[in-house]
Amino acid sequence: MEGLEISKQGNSKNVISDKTIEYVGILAKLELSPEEKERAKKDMGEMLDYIDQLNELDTTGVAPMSHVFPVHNVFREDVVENGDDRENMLKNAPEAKDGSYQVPKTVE
Amino acid sequence: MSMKEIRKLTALQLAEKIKKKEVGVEEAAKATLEQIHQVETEVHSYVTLDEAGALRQAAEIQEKINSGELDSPLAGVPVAVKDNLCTKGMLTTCSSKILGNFVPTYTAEAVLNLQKAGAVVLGKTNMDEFAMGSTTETSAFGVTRNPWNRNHVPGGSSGGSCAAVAAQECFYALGSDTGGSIRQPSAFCGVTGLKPTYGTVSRYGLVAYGSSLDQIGPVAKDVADCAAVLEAISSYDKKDSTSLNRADINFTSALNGDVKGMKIGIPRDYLGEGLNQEVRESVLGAAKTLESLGAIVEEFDLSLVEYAIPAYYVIACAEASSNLARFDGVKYGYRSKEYEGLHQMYKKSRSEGFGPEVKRRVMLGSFVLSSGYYDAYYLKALRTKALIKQAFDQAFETYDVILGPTAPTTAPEIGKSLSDPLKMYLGDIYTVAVNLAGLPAMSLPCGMDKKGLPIGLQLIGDCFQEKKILQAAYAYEQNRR
Repeated sequence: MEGLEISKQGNSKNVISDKTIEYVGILAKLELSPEEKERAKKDMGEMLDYIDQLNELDTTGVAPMSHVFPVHNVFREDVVENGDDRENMLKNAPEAKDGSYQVPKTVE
Repeated sequence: MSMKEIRKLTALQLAEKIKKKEVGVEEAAKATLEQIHQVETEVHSYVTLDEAGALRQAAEIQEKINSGELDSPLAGVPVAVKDNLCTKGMLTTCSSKILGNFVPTYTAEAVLNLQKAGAVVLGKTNMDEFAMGSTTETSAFGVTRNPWNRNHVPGGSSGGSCAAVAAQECFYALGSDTGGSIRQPSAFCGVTGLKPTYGTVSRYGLVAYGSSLDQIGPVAKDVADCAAVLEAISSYDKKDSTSLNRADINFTSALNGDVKGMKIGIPRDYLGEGLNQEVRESVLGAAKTLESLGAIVEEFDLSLVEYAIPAYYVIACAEASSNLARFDGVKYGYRSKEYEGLHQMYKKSRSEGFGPEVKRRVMLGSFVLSSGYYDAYYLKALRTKALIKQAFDQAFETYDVILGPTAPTTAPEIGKSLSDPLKMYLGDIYTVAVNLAGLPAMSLPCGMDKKGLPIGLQLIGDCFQEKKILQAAYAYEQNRR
Protein backbone atom coordinates (compact mmCIF):
# COMPACT_ATOMS: atom_id res chain seq x y z
CA MET A 1 0.00 0.00 0.00
CA GLU A 2 1.41 3.32 -1.01
CA GLY A 3 2.13 5.64 1.86
CA LEU A 4 2.70 2.84 4.29
CA GLU A 5 6.35 2.14 4.50
CA ILE A 6 8.76 1.30 7.22
CA SER A 7 12.46 1.16 6.68
CA LYS A 8 14.95 -0.87 8.62
CA GLN A 9 18.13 0.66 9.99
CA GLY A 10 21.16 -1.01 11.62
CA ASN A 11 20.20 -3.99 13.90
CA SER A 12 17.03 -4.16 11.74
CA LYS A 13 15.34 -1.41 13.77
CA ASN A 14 11.99 -0.25 12.45
CA VAL A 15 11.95 3.39 11.44
CA ILE A 16 8.51 4.87 10.99
CA SER A 17 8.34 7.67 8.41
CA ASP A 18 6.21 10.81 8.66
CA LYS A 19 4.23 9.49 5.73
CA THR A 20 3.46 6.24 7.52
CA ILE A 21 2.31 7.94 10.71
CA GLU A 22 0.19 10.27 8.59
CA TYR A 23 -1.40 7.25 6.90
CA VAL A 24 -1.98 5.39 10.17
CA GLY A 25 -3.69 8.57 11.41
CA ILE A 26 -6.06 8.36 8.44
CA LEU A 27 -6.80 4.68 9.09
CA ALA A 28 -7.31 5.22 12.83
CA LYS A 29 -9.21 8.49 12.30
CA LEU A 30 -6.93 10.40 14.63
CA GLU A 31 -5.50 13.88 14.25
CA LEU A 32 -2.15 14.07 16.00
CA SER A 33 -0.26 17.14 17.14
CA PRO A 34 3.39 17.40 15.96
CA GLU A 35 4.58 16.24 19.40
CA GLU A 36 2.15 13.30 19.39
CA LYS A 37 3.40 12.32 15.93
CA GLU A 38 7.01 12.22 17.04
CA ARG A 39 6.11 10.18 20.11
CA ALA A 40 3.93 7.83 18.02
CA LYS A 41 6.78 7.24 15.54
CA LYS A 42 9.13 6.29 18.36
CA ASP A 43 6.60 4.13 20.23
CA MET A 44 5.40 2.28 17.16
CA GLY A 45 8.95 1.64 15.99
CA GLU A 46 9.87 0.18 19.36
CA MET A 47 6.76 -1.99 19.49
CA LEU A 48 7.39 -3.33 15.99
CA ASP A 49 11.04 -4.08 16.91
CA TYR A 50 9.69 -6.09 19.80
CA ILE A 51 6.94 -7.79 17.78
CA ASP A 52 9.50 -8.74 15.11
CA GLN A 53 10.78 -11.48 17.43
CA LEU A 54 7.77 -13.50 16.28
CA ASN A 55 9.75 -13.99 13.07
CA GLU A 56 12.08 -16.33 14.98
CA LEU A 57 9.17 -18.78 15.10
CA ASP A 58 8.62 -21.12 12.19
CA THR A 59 4.87 -21.03 11.60
CA THR A 60 4.90 -22.72 8.20
CA GLY A 61 1.77 -24.80 7.82
CA VAL A 62 0.18 -23.45 11.03
CA ALA A 63 -3.32 -22.15 10.42
CA PRO A 64 -4.12 -18.74 11.96
CA MET A 65 -6.34 -19.28 15.00
CA SER A 66 -8.95 -16.59 15.50
CA HIS A 67 -11.12 -18.48 17.98
CA VAL A 68 -10.03 -21.07 20.49
CA PHE A 69 -13.24 -23.07 20.33
CA PRO A 70 -14.89 -24.42 17.21
CA VAL A 71 -17.82 -22.01 17.54
CA HIS A 72 -18.74 -20.97 14.01
CA ASN A 73 -21.71 -19.04 12.75
CA VAL A 74 -24.38 -18.89 15.41
CA PHE A 75 -27.80 -18.39 13.94
CA ARG A 76 -31.12 -17.40 15.45
CA GLU A 77 -34.48 -16.37 14.11
CA ASP A 78 -34.54 -12.74 13.09
CA VAL A 79 -37.15 -11.65 15.58
CA VAL A 80 -37.14 -8.26 17.29
CA GLU A 81 -37.12 -8.83 21.05
CA ASN A 82 -36.04 -5.47 22.42
CA GLY A 83 -38.55 -2.66 22.46
CA ASP A 84 -38.31 0.74 20.85
CA ASP A 85 -35.99 2.75 23.07
CA ARG A 86 -35.35 5.58 20.66
CA GLU A 87 -35.94 8.39 23.11
CA ASN A 88 -33.48 7.11 25.70
CA MET A 89 -30.90 6.21 23.08
CA LEU A 90 -31.07 9.66 21.54
CA LYS A 91 -30.45 11.19 24.96
CA ASN A 92 -26.87 9.96 24.58
CA ALA A 93 -26.40 11.64 21.20
CA PRO A 94 -24.24 14.77 21.17
CA GLU A 95 -26.82 16.27 18.80
CA ALA A 96 -30.22 14.98 17.76
CA LYS A 97 -33.08 16.37 15.72
CA ASP A 98 -36.58 15.06 14.95
CA GLY A 99 -35.90 11.64 16.44
CA SER A 100 -32.62 11.19 14.54
CA TYR A 101 -28.92 11.62 15.12
CA GLN A 102 -27.65 14.89 13.77
CA VAL A 103 -24.34 15.13 11.92
CA PRO A 104 -22.67 17.80 9.81
CA LYS A 105 -23.84 18.00 6.21
CA THR A 106 -22.24 15.18 4.24
CA VAL A 107 -23.76 15.51 0.76
CA GLU A 108 -23.99 18.78 -1.10
CA MET B 1 -22.80 -6.61 64.75
CA SER B 2 -20.89 -3.37 64.41
CA MET B 3 -20.39 -1.77 61.00
CA LYS B 4 -16.73 -2.67 61.26
CA GLU B 5 -17.48 -6.33 61.97
CA ILE B 6 -19.92 -6.50 59.08
CA ARG B 7 -17.29 -5.18 56.67
CA LYS B 8 -14.87 -7.93 57.65
CA LEU B 9 -17.27 -10.66 56.50
CA THR B 10 -16.84 -12.39 53.17
CA ALA B 11 -19.72 -12.14 50.69
CA LEU B 12 -20.98 -15.65 51.52
CA GLN B 13 -20.72 -15.03 55.28
CA LEU B 14 -22.66 -11.78 54.94
CA ALA B 15 -25.37 -13.42 52.84
CA GLU B 16 -25.69 -16.13 55.48
CA LYS B 17 -26.13 -13.55 58.23
CA ILE B 18 -28.66 -11.69 56.10
CA LYS B 19 -30.58 -14.93 55.60
CA LYS B 20 -30.60 -15.53 59.36
CA LYS B 21 -31.77 -11.92 59.93
CA GLU B 22 -28.64 -11.15 61.94
CA VAL B 23 -27.72 -8.37 59.53
CA GLY B 24 -30.11 -6.31 57.41
CA VAL B 25 -29.49 -5.71 53.72
CA GLU B 26 -29.71 -1.95 54.25
CA GLU B 27 -27.38 -2.22 57.23
CA ALA B 28 -24.80 -4.00 55.07
CA ALA B 29 -25.14 -1.35 52.35
CA LYS B 30 -24.74 1.41 54.93
CA ALA B 31 -21.67 -0.25 56.46
CA THR B 32 -20.10 -0.29 53.01
CA LEU B 33 -21.09 3.29 52.22
CA GLU B 34 -19.60 4.40 55.55
CA GLN B 35 -16.29 2.85 54.56
CA ILE B 36 -16.46 4.43 51.11
CA HIS B 37 -16.92 7.84 52.76
CA GLN B 38 -13.92 7.17 54.99
CA VAL B 39 -11.39 5.99 52.43
CA GLU B 40 -12.56 7.05 48.98
CA THR B 41 -10.81 10.43 48.93
CA GLU B 42 -7.54 8.53 49.40
CA VAL B 43 -8.12 5.31 47.45
CA HIS B 44 -10.48 6.46 44.67
CA SER B 45 -11.80 3.04 43.65
CA TYR B 46 -15.04 4.39 42.24
CA VAL B 47 -15.81 6.66 39.29
CA THR B 48 -19.56 6.58 39.95
CA LEU B 49 -21.24 5.93 43.26
CA ASP B 50 -25.02 5.44 43.47
CA GLU B 51 -25.82 5.84 47.16
CA ALA B 52 -29.54 6.47 46.84
CA GLY B 53 -29.87 3.64 44.33
CA ALA B 54 -27.99 1.25 46.61
CA LEU B 55 -30.29 1.96 49.55
CA ARG B 56 -33.36 1.63 47.32
CA GLN B 57 -32.15 -1.73 45.97
CA ALA B 58 -31.35 -2.84 49.53
CA ALA B 59 -34.92 -2.21 50.67
CA GLU B 60 -36.35 -4.07 47.67
CA ILE B 61 -34.04 -7.04 48.13
CA GLN B 62 -34.73 -7.23 51.86
CA GLU B 63 -38.42 -7.50 51.05
CA LYS B 64 -37.82 -10.28 48.54
CA ILE B 65 -35.69 -12.17 51.02
CA ASN B 66 -38.35 -11.76 53.71
CA SER B 67 -41.05 -13.04 51.39
CA GLY B 68 -38.92 -16.01 50.39
CA GLU B 69 -38.80 -14.89 46.74
CA LEU B 70 -34.99 -14.55 46.88
CA ASP B 71 -32.91 -17.40 48.18
CA SER B 72 -29.56 -17.12 46.39
CA PRO B 73 -26.27 -17.55 48.30
CA LEU B 74 -25.32 -13.92 47.53
CA ALA B 75 -28.66 -12.20 48.15
CA GLY B 76 -28.33 -8.78 49.74
CA VAL B 77 -24.57 -8.42 49.32
CA PRO B 78 -23.22 -5.09 47.97
CA VAL B 79 -21.13 -5.32 44.79
CA ALA B 80 -19.01 -2.92 42.73
CA VAL B 81 -18.93 -3.17 38.93
CA LYS B 82 -16.09 -2.25 36.61
CA ASP B 83 -17.00 0.76 34.54
CA ASN B 84 -16.81 -1.04 31.19
CA LEU B 85 -19.94 -3.06 32.02
CA CYS B 86 -23.13 -1.34 30.92
CA THR B 87 -25.60 -0.49 33.66
CA LYS B 88 -29.01 0.80 32.62
CA GLY B 89 -29.51 4.38 33.78
CA MET B 90 -26.07 4.57 35.40
CA LEU B 91 -23.02 6.25 33.84
CA THR B 92 -20.70 3.82 32.05
CA THR B 93 -17.55 5.66 31.06
CA CYS B 94 -14.77 3.09 30.59
CA SER B 95 -12.80 5.77 32.46
CA SER B 96 -12.59 7.66 29.17
CA LYS B 97 -13.44 11.24 28.30
CA ILE B 98 -15.04 9.98 25.09
CA LEU B 99 -17.72 8.13 27.11
CA GLY B 100 -17.75 10.63 29.98
CA ASN B 101 -21.51 11.22 29.74
CA PHE B 102 -22.72 7.85 28.45
CA VAL B 103 -25.79 6.39 30.17
CA PRO B 104 -26.62 2.92 28.77
CA THR B 105 -30.19 1.94 27.98
CA TYR B 106 -29.54 -1.68 28.98
CA THR B 107 -27.60 -3.70 31.53
CA ALA B 108 -24.79 -6.16 30.83
CA GLU B 109 -25.88 -9.81 31.12
CA ALA B 110 -23.34 -10.56 33.87
CA VAL B 111 -24.65 -7.67 35.97
CA LEU B 112 -28.26 -8.72 35.30
CA ASN B 113 -27.39 -12.20 36.52
CA LEU B 114 -26.06 -10.71 39.74
CA GLN B 115 -29.13 -8.53 40.17
CA LYS B 116 -31.33 -11.60 39.76
CA ALA B 117 -29.24 -13.19 42.53
CA GLY B 118 -30.02 -10.23 44.79
CA ALA B 119 -26.87 -8.12 44.49
CA VAL B 120 -26.93 -4.50 45.60
CA VAL B 121 -25.00 -2.53 42.95
CA LEU B 122 -23.11 0.29 44.69
CA GLY B 123 -21.49 1.89 41.69
CA LYS B 124 -18.85 1.67 39.00
CA THR B 125 -15.14 1.23 39.54
CA ASN B 126 -12.17 3.01 38.04
CA MET B 127 -10.05 1.30 35.38
CA ASP B 128 -7.42 1.95 32.78
CA GLU B 129 -9.10 3.76 29.89
CA PHE B 130 -10.97 1.11 27.85
CA ALA B 131 -9.09 -1.51 29.94
CA MET B 132 -5.83 -0.58 28.21
CA GLY B 133 -3.12 -0.51 30.84
CA SER B 134 -1.69 -2.36 33.82
CA THR B 135 -1.83 0.33 36.52
CA THR B 136 -5.23 2.13 36.33
CA GLU B 137 -3.17 5.28 35.69
CA THR B 138 -4.50 5.70 32.14
CA SER B 139 -7.97 6.48 33.55
CA ALA B 140 -9.22 9.90 32.45
CA PHE B 141 -10.67 10.37 35.95
CA GLY B 142 -7.60 10.12 38.14
CA VAL B 143 -5.53 7.32 39.63
CA THR B 144 -6.67 4.68 42.10
CA ARG B 145 -4.28 4.08 44.99
CA ASN B 146 -3.27 0.69 46.33
CA PRO B 147 -5.00 0.26 49.72
CA TRP B 148 -1.88 -1.46 51.13
CA ASN B 149 0.40 1.43 50.29
CA ARG B 150 -1.10 4.51 48.78
CA ASN B 151 2.06 5.51 46.93
CA HIS B 152 1.69 2.40 44.79
CA VAL B 153 -0.68 1.53 41.96
CA PRO B 154 -3.44 -1.07 42.43
CA GLY B 155 -2.53 -2.69 39.13
CA GLY B 156 -4.87 -2.76 36.18
CA SER B 157 -6.92 -2.60 34.29
CA SER B 158 -9.51 -3.67 36.90
CA GLY B 159 -7.62 -1.64 39.54
CA GLY B 160 -10.72 0.06 40.94
CA SER B 161 -12.56 -3.25 41.44
CA CYS B 162 -9.60 -4.87 43.19
CA ALA B 163 -8.82 -1.82 45.36
CA ALA B 164 -12.49 -1.59 46.35
CA VAL B 165 -12.50 -5.21 47.55
CA ALA B 166 -9.18 -4.78 49.38
CA ALA B 167 -10.32 -1.53 51.07
CA GLN B 168 -13.67 -3.08 52.12
CA GLU B 169 -15.54 -0.63 49.89
CA CYS B 170 -17.62 -3.57 48.63
CA PHE B 171 -17.83 -7.29 49.39
CA TYR B 172 -16.93 -8.39 45.89
CA ALA B 173 -16.65 -6.87 42.45
CA LEU B 174 -16.77 -7.65 38.75
CA GLY B 175 -13.74 -7.09 36.58
CA SER B 176 -12.77 -7.94 33.01
CA ASP B 177 -9.62 -9.69 31.87
CA THR B 178 -8.18 -9.32 28.36
CA GLY B 179 -4.51 -9.94 29.15
CA GLY B 180 -4.44 -10.20 32.93
CA SER B 181 -6.70 -7.33 33.95
CA ILE B 182 -8.42 -9.27 36.73
CA ARG B 183 -5.49 -11.39 37.90
CA GLN B 184 -2.69 -8.80 38.03
CA PRO B 185 -4.57 -6.15 40.07
CA SER B 186 -5.90 -8.96 42.30
CA ALA B 187 -2.29 -9.93 42.98
CA PHE B 188 -1.25 -6.32 43.63
CA CYS B 189 -4.20 -5.66 45.97
CA GLY B 190 -4.05 -8.97 47.87
CA VAL B 191 -7.48 -10.19 46.74
CA THR B 192 -8.71 -13.24 44.84
CA GLY B 193 -9.69 -12.90 41.18
CA LEU B 194 -10.68 -15.36 38.50
CA LYS B 195 -10.70 -15.18 34.72
CA PRO B 196 -13.08 -17.89 33.45
CA THR B 197 -12.75 -20.00 30.30
CA TYR B 198 -13.55 -17.83 27.28
CA GLY B 199 -17.30 -17.96 26.61
CA THR B 200 -18.36 -18.86 30.16
CA VAL B 201 -19.66 -15.41 31.08
CA SER B 202 -21.67 -13.50 28.48
CA ARG B 203 -19.89 -10.44 27.11
CA TYR B 204 -23.20 -8.80 26.22
CA GLY B 205 -22.96 -5.27 27.58
CA LEU B 206 -19.21 -5.37 28.12
CA VAL B 207 -17.62 -2.54 26.15
CA ALA B 208 -15.30 -4.51 23.86
CA TYR B 209 -11.53 -4.10 23.86
CA GLY B 210 -10.10 -7.33 22.38
CA SER B 211 -13.24 -9.36 21.74
CA SER B 212 -11.54 -12.73 21.23
CA LEU B 213 -9.71 -12.32 24.56
CA ASP B 214 -12.12 -10.38 26.83
CA GLN B 215 -13.80 -12.26 29.64
CA ILE B 216 -15.69 -11.00 32.70
CA GLY B 217 -14.89 -12.50 36.09
CA PRO B 218 -15.16 -12.11 39.86
CA VAL B 219 -12.86 -10.24 42.25
CA ALA B 220 -13.45 -11.36 45.82
CA LYS B 221 -12.08 -11.71 49.34
CA ASP B 222 -11.50 -15.45 49.11
CA VAL B 223 -11.77 -18.54 46.94
CA ALA B 224 -15.26 -19.57 48.08
CA ASP B 225 -16.66 -16.13 47.24
CA CYS B 226 -14.96 -16.30 43.84
CA ALA B 227 -16.59 -19.65 43.10
CA ALA B 228 -20.02 -18.45 44.23
CA VAL B 229 -19.87 -15.27 42.16
CA LEU B 230 -18.66 -17.17 39.11
CA GLU B 231 -21.58 -19.54 39.51
CA ALA B 232 -23.97 -16.59 39.60
CA ILE B 233 -22.62 -14.80 36.52
CA SER B 234 -22.00 -17.81 34.24
CA SER B 235 -24.76 -18.31 31.70
CA TYR B 236 -25.35 -19.21 28.10
CA ASP B 237 -26.52 -16.10 26.30
CA LYS B 238 -27.71 -16.04 22.72
CA LYS B 239 -26.95 -12.31 22.64
CA ASP B 240 -23.22 -13.17 22.71
CA SER B 241 -22.37 -15.39 19.75
CA THR B 242 -19.21 -16.63 21.50
CA SER B 243 -21.14 -17.68 24.60
CA LEU B 244 -20.84 -21.38 25.47
CA ASN B 245 -23.56 -23.62 26.83
CA ARG B 246 -21.64 -25.31 29.62
CA ALA B 247 -23.02 -28.44 31.20
CA ASP B 248 -21.53 -27.98 34.66
CA ILE B 249 -21.24 -24.60 36.31
CA ASN B 250 -21.58 -25.87 39.85
CA PHE B 251 -18.22 -24.35 40.77
CA THR B 252 -18.72 -24.25 44.54
CA SER B 253 -18.85 -28.07 44.63
CA ALA B 254 -15.09 -28.08 43.94
CA LEU B 255 -14.27 -26.56 47.34
CA ASN B 256 -13.39 -29.77 49.15
CA GLY B 257 -9.79 -29.00 50.10
CA ASP B 258 -8.49 -32.24 48.61
CA VAL B 259 -5.46 -32.09 46.32
CA LYS B 260 -4.10 -35.59 46.94
CA GLY B 261 -2.59 -36.89 43.72
CA MET B 262 -3.32 -33.68 41.81
CA LYS B 263 -0.57 -33.04 39.27
CA ILE B 264 0.72 -29.48 39.35
CA GLY B 265 3.29 -28.18 36.87
CA ILE B 266 5.45 -25.08 37.30
CA PRO B 267 6.76 -23.73 33.97
CA ARG B 268 10.52 -23.16 34.36
CA ASP B 269 10.19 -20.13 32.08
CA TYR B 270 7.89 -18.55 34.69
CA LEU B 271 10.70 -18.58 37.25
CA GLY B 272 13.43 -17.14 35.07
CA GLU B 273 14.98 -13.76 34.45
CA GLY B 274 12.93 -10.74 35.45
CA LEU B 275 11.14 -12.44 38.33
CA ASN B 276 11.55 -10.65 41.63
CA GLN B 277 13.24 -12.83 44.25
CA GLU B 278 10.63 -12.29 46.97
CA VAL B 279 7.82 -13.14 44.54
CA ARG B 280 9.69 -16.26 43.49
CA GLU B 281 10.13 -17.44 47.08
CA SER B 282 6.48 -16.85 48.00
CA VAL B 283 5.20 -18.67 44.92
CA LEU B 284 7.50 -21.63 45.45
CA GLY B 285 6.47 -21.64 49.12
CA ALA B 286 2.84 -21.98 48.01
CA ALA B 287 3.84 -24.88 45.74
CA LYS B 288 5.48 -26.54 48.76
CA THR B 289 2.29 -26.16 50.76
CA LEU B 290 0.29 -27.87 48.01
CA GLU B 291 2.91 -30.58 47.84
CA SER B 292 2.66 -31.15 51.58
CA LEU B 293 -1.09 -31.63 51.09
CA GLY B 294 -0.47 -34.48 48.70
CA ALA B 295 -0.21 -32.78 45.31
CA ILE B 296 2.52 -33.90 42.92
CA VAL B 297 4.46 -30.78 42.00
CA GLU B 298 7.16 -30.60 39.34
CA GLU B 299 8.82 -28.11 37.02
CA PHE B 300 8.48 -28.41 33.25
CA ASP B 301 9.20 -26.49 30.04
CA LEU B 302 6.08 -24.80 28.71
CA SER B 303 7.93 -23.20 25.76
CA LEU B 304 6.97 -20.15 23.66
CA VAL B 305 6.52 -18.02 26.80
CA GLU B 306 8.47 -15.08 25.33
CA TYR B 307 6.22 -14.97 22.25
CA ALA B 308 2.96 -14.50 24.13
CA ILE B 309 3.36 -10.74 24.72
CA PRO B 310 4.18 -9.75 21.12
CA ALA B 311 1.37 -11.98 19.78
CA TYR B 312 -1.02 -10.60 22.38
CA TYR B 313 -0.34 -6.93 21.60
CA VAL B 314 -0.79 -7.48 17.87
CA ILE B 315 -4.12 -9.29 18.32
CA ALA B 316 -5.49 -7.11 21.13
CA CYS B 317 -4.56 -3.85 19.37
CA ALA B 318 -5.95 -5.07 16.03
CA GLU B 319 -9.28 -5.91 17.65
CA ALA B 320 -9.23 -2.67 19.63
CA SER B 321 -8.73 -0.57 16.51
CA SER B 322 -11.81 -2.17 15.02
CA ASN B 323 -13.91 -2.14 18.22
CA LEU B 324 -13.11 1.48 19.03
CA ALA B 325 -14.07 2.67 15.56
CA ARG B 326 -17.61 3.10 16.92
CA PHE B 327 -16.55 6.07 19.02
CA ASP B 328 -17.04 8.79 16.44
CA GLY B 329 -19.05 11.48 18.21
CA VAL B 330 -22.35 10.57 16.49
CA LYS B 331 -24.49 8.24 18.59
CA TYR B 332 -23.05 8.75 22.07
CA GLY B 333 -20.17 10.21 23.95
CA TYR B 334 -17.97 13.18 23.31
CA ARG B 335 -18.14 15.37 20.19
CA SER B 336 -15.54 18.02 19.50
CA LYS B 337 -16.78 21.59 19.77
CA GLU B 338 -15.10 22.88 16.63
CA TYR B 339 -14.85 21.07 13.32
CA GLU B 340 -15.41 21.47 9.62
CA GLY B 341 -17.35 18.68 8.00
CA LEU B 342 -18.05 15.11 9.00
CA HIS B 343 -14.56 13.64 8.72
CA GLN B 344 -12.94 16.32 10.78
CA MET B 345 -15.67 15.86 13.36
CA TYR B 346 -14.76 12.18 13.65
CA LYS B 347 -11.06 12.88 13.83
CA LYS B 348 -11.23 15.71 16.33
CA SER B 349 -13.78 13.97 18.55
CA ARG B 350 -11.59 10.88 18.73
CA SER B 351 -8.33 12.79 19.14
CA GLU B 352 -9.72 14.92 21.95
CA GLY B 353 -11.71 12.07 23.52
CA PHE B 354 -9.10 9.28 23.68
CA GLY B 355 -6.05 9.32 25.95
CA PRO B 356 -2.46 8.55 24.85
CA GLU B 357 -2.47 4.79 25.61
CA VAL B 358 -5.71 4.22 23.70
CA LYS B 359 -4.38 6.18 20.71
CA ARG B 360 -1.13 4.21 20.82
CA ARG B 361 -2.96 0.87 20.68
CA VAL B 362 -5.52 1.95 18.08
CA MET B 363 -2.70 3.15 15.82
CA LEU B 364 -0.68 -0.02 16.24
CA GLY B 365 -3.83 -2.02 15.57
CA SER B 366 -4.65 -0.04 12.42
CA PHE B 367 -1.10 -0.57 11.23
CA VAL B 368 -0.94 -4.35 11.73
CA LEU B 369 -4.28 -4.75 9.95
CA SER B 370 -3.32 -2.53 7.01
CA SER B 371 -2.83 -3.93 3.56
CA GLY B 372 0.78 -5.03 3.17
CA TYR B 373 1.29 -5.74 6.87
CA TYR B 374 -1.76 -7.89 7.65
CA ASP B 375 0.02 -11.16 6.82
CA ALA B 376 3.35 -10.24 8.38
CA TYR B 377 1.91 -9.07 11.68
CA TYR B 378 -1.73 -10.00 12.23
CA LEU B 379 -1.78 -13.47 10.69
CA LYS B 380 1.66 -14.20 12.12
CA ALA B 381 0.28 -13.41 15.59
CA LEU B 382 -2.74 -15.68 15.01
CA ARG B 383 -0.44 -18.51 13.94
CA THR B 384 1.64 -17.94 17.08
CA LYS B 385 -1.56 -18.07 19.11
CA ALA B 386 -2.29 -21.52 17.63
CA LEU B 387 1.17 -22.71 18.70
CA ILE B 388 0.73 -21.30 22.20
CA LYS B 389 -2.61 -23.11 22.51
CA GLN B 390 -0.87 -26.33 21.40
CA ALA B 391 1.83 -25.86 24.06
CA PHE B 392 -0.85 -25.58 26.75
CA ASP B 393 -2.77 -28.57 25.35
CA GLN B 394 0.38 -30.59 25.64
CA ALA B 395 1.07 -29.42 29.20
CA PHE B 396 -2.46 -30.32 30.28
CA GLU B 397 -2.00 -33.86 29.02
CA THR B 398 0.32 -34.22 32.01
CA TYR B 399 -0.84 -31.65 34.55
CA ASP B 400 -4.17 -30.80 36.17
CA VAL B 401 -3.08 -27.30 37.07
CA ILE B 402 -0.23 -24.98 36.08
CA LEU B 403 1.18 -22.91 38.93
CA GLY B 404 3.28 -19.75 38.79
CA PRO B 405 3.48 -16.10 39.75
CA THR B 406 0.72 -13.74 38.57
CA ALA B 407 3.15 -10.89 37.95
CA PRO B 408 6.96 -10.62 38.01
CA THR B 409 6.94 -7.96 40.75
CA THR B 410 4.65 -6.47 43.37
CA ALA B 411 2.81 -3.19 42.67
CA PRO B 412 5.04 -0.43 41.26
CA GLU B 413 4.98 3.11 42.61
CA ILE B 414 2.52 5.54 41.10
CA GLY B 415 4.02 7.52 38.21
CA LYS B 416 6.77 5.05 37.34
CA SER B 417 5.15 2.96 34.59
CA LEU B 418 3.63 5.01 31.78
CA SER B 419 6.80 6.65 30.44
CA ASP B 420 8.04 3.32 29.06
CA PRO B 421 5.04 1.44 27.58
CA LEU B 422 7.05 -1.55 26.37
CA LYS B 423 8.45 -2.13 29.85
CA MET B 424 4.93 -1.95 31.26
CA TYR B 425 3.72 -4.51 28.70
CA LEU B 426 6.46 -6.93 29.80
CA GLY B 427 4.78 -7.09 33.22
CA ASP B 428 2.00 -9.11 31.53
CA ILE B 429 4.36 -11.99 30.76
CA TYR B 430 2.66 -14.60 32.96
CA THR B 431 -0.93 -13.59 32.26
CA VAL B 432 -1.45 -12.91 28.53
CA ALA B 433 -0.90 -16.45 27.22
CA VAL B 434 -3.95 -17.59 29.21
CA ASN B 435 -6.18 -15.20 27.25
CA LEU B 436 -4.69 -16.24 23.91
CA ALA B 437 -5.50 -19.87 24.74
CA GLY B 438 -8.93 -19.08 26.26
CA LEU B 439 -8.01 -20.79 29.54
CA PRO B 440 -9.37 -20.20 33.05
CA ALA B 441 -6.91 -18.86 35.63
CA MET B 442 -7.00 -17.23 39.01
CA SER B 443 -4.80 -15.18 41.27
CA LEU B 444 -4.83 -15.46 45.04
CA PRO B 445 -2.62 -13.97 47.76
CA CYS B 446 0.44 -16.02 48.75
CA GLY B 447 2.53 -13.60 50.78
CA MET B 448 3.84 -10.08 51.22
CA ASP B 449 7.11 -8.48 50.20
CA LYS B 450 9.35 -6.47 52.55
CA LYS B 451 7.54 -3.28 51.58
CA GLY B 452 4.27 -4.78 52.80
CA LEU B 453 2.81 -5.26 49.32
CA PRO B 454 0.85 -8.42 48.46
CA ILE B 455 2.20 -11.17 46.20
CA GLY B 456 -0.12 -13.16 43.91
CA LEU B 457 -0.09 -16.86 43.11
CA GLN B 458 -1.50 -17.80 39.71
CA LEU B 459 -3.22 -21.11 39.02
CA ILE B 460 -4.05 -21.94 35.41
CA GLY B 461 -6.42 -24.70 34.29
CA ASP B 462 -7.28 -26.33 31.01
CA CYS B 463 -10.40 -25.09 29.22
CA PHE B 464 -13.55 -25.78 31.30
CA GLN B 465 -11.45 -26.88 34.30
CA GLU B 466 -12.28 -23.99 36.64
CA LYS B 467 -13.12 -26.59 39.27
CA LYS B 468 -9.57 -27.91 39.35
CA ILE B 469 -8.03 -24.49 39.91
CA LEU B 470 -10.66 -23.65 42.52
CA GLN B 471 -9.98 -26.96 44.23
CA ALA B 472 -6.23 -26.28 44.37
CA ALA B 473 -6.76 -22.64 45.36
CA TYR B 474 -9.15 -23.57 48.15
CA ALA B 475 -6.82 -26.24 49.54
CA TYR B 476 -3.94 -23.77 49.51
CA GLU B 477 -6.02 -21.02 51.11
CA GLN B 478 -7.11 -23.29 53.96
CA ASN B 479 -3.48 -24.12 54.70
CA ARG B 480 -1.84 -20.79 53.91
CA ARG B 481 0.79 -19.87 56.44
